[in-house]
Amino acid sequence: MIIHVDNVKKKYKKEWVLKGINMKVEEPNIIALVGPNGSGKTTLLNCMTNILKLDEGSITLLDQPHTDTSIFKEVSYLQDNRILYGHLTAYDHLKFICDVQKIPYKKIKEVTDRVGMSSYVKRRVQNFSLGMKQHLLLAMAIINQPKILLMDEPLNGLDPTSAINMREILLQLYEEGTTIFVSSHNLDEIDRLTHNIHFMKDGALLKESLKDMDSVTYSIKTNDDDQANLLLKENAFDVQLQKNRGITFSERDVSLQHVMKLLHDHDFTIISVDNKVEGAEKRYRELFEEGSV
Amino acid sequence: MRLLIFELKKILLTKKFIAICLLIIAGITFLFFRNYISQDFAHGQIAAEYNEYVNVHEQRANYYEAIMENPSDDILGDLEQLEEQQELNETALETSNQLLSQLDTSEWQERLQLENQYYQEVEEYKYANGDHPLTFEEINRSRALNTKLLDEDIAPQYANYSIATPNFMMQVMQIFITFTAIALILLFIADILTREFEEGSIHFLITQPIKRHTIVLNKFIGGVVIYAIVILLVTITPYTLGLIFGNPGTFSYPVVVENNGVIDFITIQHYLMTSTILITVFSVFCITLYLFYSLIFRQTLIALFAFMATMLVGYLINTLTAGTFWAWVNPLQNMLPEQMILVQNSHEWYMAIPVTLVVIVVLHVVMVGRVRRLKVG
Repeated sequence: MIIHVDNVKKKYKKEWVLKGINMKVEEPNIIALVGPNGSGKTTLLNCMTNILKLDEGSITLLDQPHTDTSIFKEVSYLQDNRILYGHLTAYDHLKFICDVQKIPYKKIKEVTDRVGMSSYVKRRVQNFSLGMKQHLLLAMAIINQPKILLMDEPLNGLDPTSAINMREILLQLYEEGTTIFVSSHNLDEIDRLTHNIHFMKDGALLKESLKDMDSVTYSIKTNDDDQANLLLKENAFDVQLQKNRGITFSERDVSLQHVMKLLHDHDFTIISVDNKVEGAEKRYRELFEEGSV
Repeated sequence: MRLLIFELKKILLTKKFIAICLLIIAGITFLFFRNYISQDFAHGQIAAEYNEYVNVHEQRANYYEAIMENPSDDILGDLEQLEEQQELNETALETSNQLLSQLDTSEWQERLQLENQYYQEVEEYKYANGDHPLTFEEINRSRALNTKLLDEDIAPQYANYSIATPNFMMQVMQIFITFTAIALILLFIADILTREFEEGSIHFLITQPIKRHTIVLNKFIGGVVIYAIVILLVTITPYTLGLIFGNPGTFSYPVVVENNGVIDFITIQHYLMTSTILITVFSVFCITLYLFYSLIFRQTLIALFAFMATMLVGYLINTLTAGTFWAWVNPLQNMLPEQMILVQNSHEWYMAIPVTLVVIVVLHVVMVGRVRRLKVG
């Protein structure tokens, strides 16, 4: 079992902020947690990483109790940028993680190249923009090639290019076997990342997740839509090729992640992924009422 | 070790740390050159002191002369004692005049011998109920020090203006151990742990594969390393300045101490060694106590307030209590190491060390327990 959250309850003072959360993740996946402010998303993540004490229930990550600090060799938690030390450089932060996790220093160059922050890795964090800090947080979270990557609002402060870059990195990590558990307000980006979206309200996970609901129609544009269409059909995917929209399919019939993986494995370049139906945002509005976010 | 290096980077690479270290060096250098250019002033102070003695005796001589010419009825019975006082005052006046006139011409040995002769005469004068600003304690201390210097053949140094390496080191150490060390430690470590809570970076540390108690342990070691750097600055800087610009002096220079009411001596070397031990033990205690409060309160201001309150209570306890028992059981006894060393009445300078070390260990054990259960919101 990769993640097992069993009837987790947490209260602040006398108010229950988590009311019996249950979740099982048995194979690598991208799971999104969506909900309004105060719904308990960050509390759940903090409980999973033992930053907060559980009042009831239990959590195991990779079949180990979440209280065992050794799990952090394989579990990373991308938190908000307050955790960074302003007067240290990005390199200092990454070197520290390499030191405590016995990761060779050459990984620093690899990960900074991957995230796109090589040019400012030796600069002090206090001079970083919000986006640069997010890059560093991502680099810190993935330098150990984690099996589980927990992320709290990772897209905050990212410009569109960086957001796309982060999405690509996360999809690559997923393909490499990392389970990604992400909470975010950016419904559009989340929608593009996964349809395994869980909604959270008032400290409880709603029974329905987006993947259980009405389908969303996707359209994907690649560097060679004809060949990609043929490949997908050869692999029994129910897809259509449409003029101007590229390859389209319904989430009900075809998994976006599987399509992306197959195309990636065959070296197709994904130019864009769009969903025709509003997907997560539409459902979010239905569940939480417009304007409550 | 890896966490310690990271901790040290967080502390040592700050502008605050570098600025304070430079200020320490600048302050010591300023003090040395103040001493250097004040040699004539210090010499003048001795002359002023001798001059004051002469004035005192002259005033007393005029008084005796006047009173002897027209003795009032109420002192007729004391005439014999007044005559004795007048005679002793005349002798002391003569010696004090000699001291003043020979100050610039005589060798130091000659001057100290004459000073001792003068102290002897003043003592006799005071025994004869004569009035003099010097107390018996001051007379005894000064005479004993002069005798020691003569016996050891060590030239005297100006008390607060010496440029002899050992004496200047002692002067710097005296300033350092009188609350300065604690103030510096607080400046350096005030937010060493609380900042992690206040800014949220503790989340980063506790989501790393490291044992939680090592976080606090490494903060503690970081604090001790900072203290070590400061004490090195406080010893090496005056030593270097003294060697280059001052004179070598001698570490055997005597320092007067009071041992169960009796005047005794230790050398400057001994003073520097004992004061370093005491201030080190007390500083380590303060670092531990401050980290303990930081862990409990998690806010810099509250932790500082709690620490200062503890020091104040400690100071009051030190003021209100005395004796061997309190010296053994009061870990705050070393708050003023100067007193522990120079006045060893009913206690020895080292007595508070064991209890301080025990409290340090106990605080660490409590902190390990707390940090293992640490949950941060």
